[in-house]
Amino acid sequence: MHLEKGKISNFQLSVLIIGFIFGASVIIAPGQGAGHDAWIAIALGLIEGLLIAWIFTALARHFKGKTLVEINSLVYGKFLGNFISILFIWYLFHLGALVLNNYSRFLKLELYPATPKILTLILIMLVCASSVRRGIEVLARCSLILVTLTVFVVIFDTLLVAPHMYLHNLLPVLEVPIGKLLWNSHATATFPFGDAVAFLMVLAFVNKPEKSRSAVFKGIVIAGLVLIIVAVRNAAVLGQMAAIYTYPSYITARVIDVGDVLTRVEVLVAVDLITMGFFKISVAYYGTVLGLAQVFNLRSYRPIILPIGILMVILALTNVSNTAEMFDFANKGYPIYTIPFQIAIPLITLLLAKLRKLPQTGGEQA
Amino acid sequence: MSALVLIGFGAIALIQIPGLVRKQWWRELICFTVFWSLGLVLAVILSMGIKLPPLTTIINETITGILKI
Amino acid sequence: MKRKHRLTIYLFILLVIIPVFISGCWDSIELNKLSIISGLGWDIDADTGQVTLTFQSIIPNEIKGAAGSNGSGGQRRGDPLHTIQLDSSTGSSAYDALNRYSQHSSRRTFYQHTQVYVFGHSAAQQGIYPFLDSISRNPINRPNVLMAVAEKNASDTLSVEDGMENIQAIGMAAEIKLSAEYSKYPSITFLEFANRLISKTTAPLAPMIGIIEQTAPKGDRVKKARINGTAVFNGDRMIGQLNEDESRGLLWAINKIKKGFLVIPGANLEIVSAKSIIVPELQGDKIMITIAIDEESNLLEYDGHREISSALLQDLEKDQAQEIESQVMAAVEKSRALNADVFGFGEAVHRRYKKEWPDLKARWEEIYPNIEVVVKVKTHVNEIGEIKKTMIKD
Repeated sequence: MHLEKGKISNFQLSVLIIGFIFGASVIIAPGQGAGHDAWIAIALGLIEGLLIAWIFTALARHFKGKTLVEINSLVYGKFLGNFISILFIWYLFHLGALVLNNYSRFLKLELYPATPKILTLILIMLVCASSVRRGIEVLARCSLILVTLTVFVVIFDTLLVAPHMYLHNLLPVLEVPIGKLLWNSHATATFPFGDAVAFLMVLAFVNKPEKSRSAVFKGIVIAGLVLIIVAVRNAAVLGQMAAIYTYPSYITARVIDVGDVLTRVEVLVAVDLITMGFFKISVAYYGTVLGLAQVFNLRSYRPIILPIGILMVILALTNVSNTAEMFDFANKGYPIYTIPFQIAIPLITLLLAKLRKLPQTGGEQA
Repeated sequence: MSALVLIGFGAIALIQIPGLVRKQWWRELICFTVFWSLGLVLAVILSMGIKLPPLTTIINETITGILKI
Repeated sequence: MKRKHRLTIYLFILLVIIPVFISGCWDSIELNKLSIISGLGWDIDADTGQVTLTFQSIIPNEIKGAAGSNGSGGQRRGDPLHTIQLDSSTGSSAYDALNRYSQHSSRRTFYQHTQVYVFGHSAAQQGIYPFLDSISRNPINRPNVLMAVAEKNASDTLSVEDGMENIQAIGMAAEIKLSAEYSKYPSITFLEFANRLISKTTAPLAPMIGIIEQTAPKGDRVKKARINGTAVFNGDRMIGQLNEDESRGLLWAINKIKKGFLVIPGANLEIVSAKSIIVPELQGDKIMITIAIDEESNLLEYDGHREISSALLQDLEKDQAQEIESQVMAAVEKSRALNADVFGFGEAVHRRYKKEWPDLKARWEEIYPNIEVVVKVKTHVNEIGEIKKTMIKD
């Protein structure tokens, strides 16, 4: 594996997954369609997300030390395998662009109304590019500090806003019709939990692959619990407006007003997005670039980092004509669109691999 | 605007290409050039004001069209 | 190029160029180019339907000047009217007026410090949703901004000088919060108003501000803005108001009593704390609401001649409970007369009876006046102050 020499520990893997799942979900509230039952939708989505994780960690364990691209070549043969890998790489690339898009729209709306979007996009992309350039180990190392910071901000916000929480806003429980609840929980399962399938490009570099499944699960569960707490908090503070505001966590932080001194804390929520968004984009970016390098058999993925980054920025700029379409896709199209990538590809590959009794020590067999 | 785009892309090429040529990494150079050119073309089109088709919206409408008639 | 040199150059570029964009320099505006809006008023002309927005903006350097003259030890405060500037802008709709203002103002409007939104009486009666919609879409809106309705025109209310505060809107906001603190009239933030508006059954509220004339110590007539009622809305239209007693009753019921004073025949008590719970019960088609109030108070003034004993306190407690109950029932009666669910009874039923709610919600207007309300009050007088016996012999 000469493309990536770094190794990450299981702990770092967990933290990286937490950061990745927080990604844009710190700002784009999961389960918003379910109203004040959003926390139930997230909890159910968490379970489904763990199922998805079970599948792809099984695949990763089966082929220790190999990224998805290599696995595909082994299982499907070079031609078909590379074709499927390219599809998966497109999914990662698109994911990076989607998060970049969410990110820049939020920043433009709340913090930088006058700065042109392309500038924020390019700057974020450059930061992600520089960390991707240094390899997965560097990403994993900085994840611990940034994720801890984010979790602190969430705890801090929640404590400060506690006097304004009216838990009766969460009643009546399960008011949302079951169909809507299940759809929203599936939507949460795909975004953000299911996106962890991107780690199929990262799991190859864990130094103790046997424990990687529990590390992944730990990461997903912890992130899920925090998201549930955030959903409960937002619904308790904002009441029915929680489903109406575009960025409920941000508004909840605006309510904080301790003795007229500690106000305008909402900027910390923006910091959360900036740091966690960076992770999600970086991991997706890394997967794209590494995958492409493996498909085209390059000696290093470094040369293509910048062009791919620019293409991602271009896609982020143009992929939706307005914010309403962005939310529409997140709520309606995305849960279906991701099924082939998050579920079908890993599952079918796993089944085929087991059927063909791969991997064999020393080459494949027809 | 287009000038900025050209300068930017030129700078990127300048940074990357000499290294690749020196090391004689031809495959990497081809890959780089392909993506670079694609980016250049798209960026120039964007800077000229022509709108590119919104991919995500197209995907969304295809999916919702097929499933939720 | 040597590696070290290259690194230094990159670092330099990074540190110089990037902060230019990241720190929001593109968006930076100097303070003296800003017009900090402290209060926003909304009026609709009954005849023409034109919207007038009144902007009360702070002139920063004037405040410094006023503070300076204070510091030199005089009683004379800086003339309040010079520290704020009123501007109005008329248009065919809220957004139209907002836009026109930014066109003829020499400064950029900055809404992050807006304290209060004031709605003119007739505008409130016509419906304030257009304003709410455009203001909540704008990211400058904060959920904590206070809502208020003016007795006549918002522009008049915003122009009344408040002797104590340099910035009138801050004074008004402080007054609203203080009246809520002393449990006289509710203070309603934008978030609360919006939530009441979304709930199809609960009636939005806002404190009403009127202008009274007082005689200042020097003998000249001074206008002051005072809160003197609670406006009740149906949806986004104002349909009536609650007076002082009814407002107090409302606050008792919705658990918003903090401090305050309670006057009963022969005594004056200070409210220390109060809690209330609304318990809905659905019996067939009949709704019964029990409001359970638990209150604690201290004795402030006693006009009678009895010995201050436990028996006396218990009598006082009974009188208190009666007074509280009558205040709450006054509020209930008024809300029935207006057919406006100011207490949130609907939502209480909603939370408990999720299956029956959709049907009840549809018929809420006919159901509401027939709801049976029972008030159960428990009071407790705690402290009696510094003296334990009356000083006058009977």
